[in-house]
Amino acid sequence: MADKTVVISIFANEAAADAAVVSLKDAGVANVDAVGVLVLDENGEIKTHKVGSHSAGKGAGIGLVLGLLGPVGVGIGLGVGMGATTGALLGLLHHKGLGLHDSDRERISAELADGKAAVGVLSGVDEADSIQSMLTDAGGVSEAHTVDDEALQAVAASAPATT
Amino acid sequence: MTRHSRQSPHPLLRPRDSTAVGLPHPPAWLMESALLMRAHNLAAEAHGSQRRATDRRLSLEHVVEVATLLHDAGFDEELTAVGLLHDAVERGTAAETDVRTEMGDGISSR
Repeated sequence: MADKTVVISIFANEAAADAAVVSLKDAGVANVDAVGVLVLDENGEIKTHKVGSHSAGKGAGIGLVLGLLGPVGVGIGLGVGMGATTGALLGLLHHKGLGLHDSDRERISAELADGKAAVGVLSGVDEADSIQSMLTDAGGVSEAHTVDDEALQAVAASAPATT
Repeated sequence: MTRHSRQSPHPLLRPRDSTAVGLPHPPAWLMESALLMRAHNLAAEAHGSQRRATDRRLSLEHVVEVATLLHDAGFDEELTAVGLLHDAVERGTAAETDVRTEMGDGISSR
């Protein structure tokens, strides 16, 4: 059963992504578990900006999910080590039914390499449509992936410690 | 005869820290608001000459860009101030209490 949704929205740059997140949070969308912004730095390494998360202690936060979208073998700013463990985690995600695939990761990585920024929101299924709509209205190109809550818990348990 | 056009801006409308350390001036639309100038000054204090890991730009330039997007999209002054301060605690040196003290609960809670 998919009880969570990851909404991902690609923006022209990090400023546009941050502005969208500020407005999204202010809209008070219920049950937004976590919001993050993903960009590449000048060395091509993933940097995540955890704009807000009150679920870090409850399971896999958006930082982990966004980190899995990045290139294999790089570290991300939230302290999620993505080196040797990444392949195993991705395998677990596929096995457990998290709705993110290699093709999604490669496509989003290419967008980031082009200087764009991704906003990721981990939310309840009921809020996903409104979140996707808000992010699109803010200028993002948005998509939603359903996520099995058990898969999130399993990934959180298997992942290195997050901050 | 009044000399309004020759007077210096009110201190709250004057860039306090950014220009003193060689940071860019705030945009004109921002300087028209005492609230936004307070937020800008607090952001300037929090970020100083810090540069971002992603693009090596000044952090202050980034938060002003975010605020400009919110302003141009028609959001109110308070949310625009939130845009100015969105990195002040997480990536800058400001404490949450600094933001609350300087800006009030209305902005610090948004």
